[in-house]
Amino acid sequence: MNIPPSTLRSRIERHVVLIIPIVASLIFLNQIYRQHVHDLSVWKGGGMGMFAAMDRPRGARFVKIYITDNNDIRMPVTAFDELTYRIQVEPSEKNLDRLLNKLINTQWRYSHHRIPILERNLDGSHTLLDHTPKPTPWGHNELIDVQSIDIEYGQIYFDVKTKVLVGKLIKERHYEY
Amino acid sequence: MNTKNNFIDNIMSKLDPAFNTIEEHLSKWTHLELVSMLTLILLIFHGFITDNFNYPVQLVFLVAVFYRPALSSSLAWAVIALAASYEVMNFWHHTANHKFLTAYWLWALCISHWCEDEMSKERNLMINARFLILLTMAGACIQKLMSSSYMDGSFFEISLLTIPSFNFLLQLIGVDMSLPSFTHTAMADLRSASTVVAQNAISIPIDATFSIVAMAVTVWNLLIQFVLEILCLCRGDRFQLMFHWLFLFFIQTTYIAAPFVGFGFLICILCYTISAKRFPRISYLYLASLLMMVIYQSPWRQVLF
Repeated sequence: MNIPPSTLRSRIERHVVLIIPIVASLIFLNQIYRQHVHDLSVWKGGGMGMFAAMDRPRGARFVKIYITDNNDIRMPVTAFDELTYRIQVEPSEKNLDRLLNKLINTQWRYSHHRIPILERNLDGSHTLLDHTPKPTPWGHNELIDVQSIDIEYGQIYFDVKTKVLVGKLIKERHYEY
Repeated sequence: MNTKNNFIDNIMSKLDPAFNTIEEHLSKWTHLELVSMLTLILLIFHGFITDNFNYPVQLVFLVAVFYRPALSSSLAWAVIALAASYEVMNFWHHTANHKFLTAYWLWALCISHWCEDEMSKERNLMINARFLILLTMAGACIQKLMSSSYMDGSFFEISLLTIPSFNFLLQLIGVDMSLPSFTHTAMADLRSASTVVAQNAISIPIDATFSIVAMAVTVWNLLIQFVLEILCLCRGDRFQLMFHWLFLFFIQTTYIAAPFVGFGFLICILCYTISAKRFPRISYLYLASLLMMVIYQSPWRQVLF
């Protein structure tokens, strides 16, 4: 059956209004699914969950990376910000493995910078405990003989009864060379 | 109830000359043209930050200033909507929820301009604007109801202390102003790989009054969004009027406290879209709200507090 072009167009115009509600609803449902399966942050992914939970990626979620050298010195790593951030947004196994692979396949070197290791006191002040070398993937300095790599992903929670902020470790990756 | 209605009527009648002036100026624009121009202004002030997006937006805006029919080009809106969709899909980890909403709205405008039939243009615009408001409110309510950190009040207890925009509120309720920075460094220390925190736990010296205020904000925020959702779903004139007055109240009370105006701008445009034909005078208040948001962004808090 041939439909005249004008009728066809008016039919399309009548139904085209459904496109955005369908797409937006699918994205919303996908966000809810990934939130429950991969712990996707409520703040991201089109689920309209801003100001709905404490799991703000850069605020309450953390990824700590450590490299241990042949002298058994455990050095915190600050690199690969984008991959780290993706874990903070969605700490899926895939994202953790991706970061671990990147860390394993990187040639780590000692840099001229040193990282202060601090201890937090009860009053909020800090005590300097030590300094460790800062590993870097850049430059021509001495290569680090890496013994192991650790990734710790966690989230900060607040207990309303005791008024205590707690950093809970949720997922870990450990790699021995 | 009658006293309240008389009060509102009195205010509205005093605003008559202003409304008439606005009406006269706006009558030079079609509804779709005006909504399109407002959206372009939103994109210039609070769009995506990449050049890929900004070039087409700036080009369309400048052409539209001198040649208004450019606002009605579905091709121009398709280019802008494509650029927005690219940004959302490619950088979704970084994209805030209201940017998703912006992208949906750009496609809604593109489709409206593409329609030839005037009825279809209007219908498409109205349905999508209402749907996006409903999605925003329903999404916010569902996510909050599912979130344990929202429902137990912990979200606002910490957010009020760590989001600098709320500092003036803390001063109003007499919170010790060293507490926000104490909480801020506590969060940073718990996140840090180079700071040792005993038992990974830090006690925050919050008093009972502050907890009550945080819980009141928590309940208020959820409740008002829930009521707005219900009112938006109701069809009658009376419910729609209640919806618009409550929404205007929500916008003013929310964005004066938390000036995250990109989202507020878009919400005002959506509400203007659905109210312009049915309640023209109320729709002008949404336009006024756009101006108010610019004022809310100014550093008035630092001057007063």
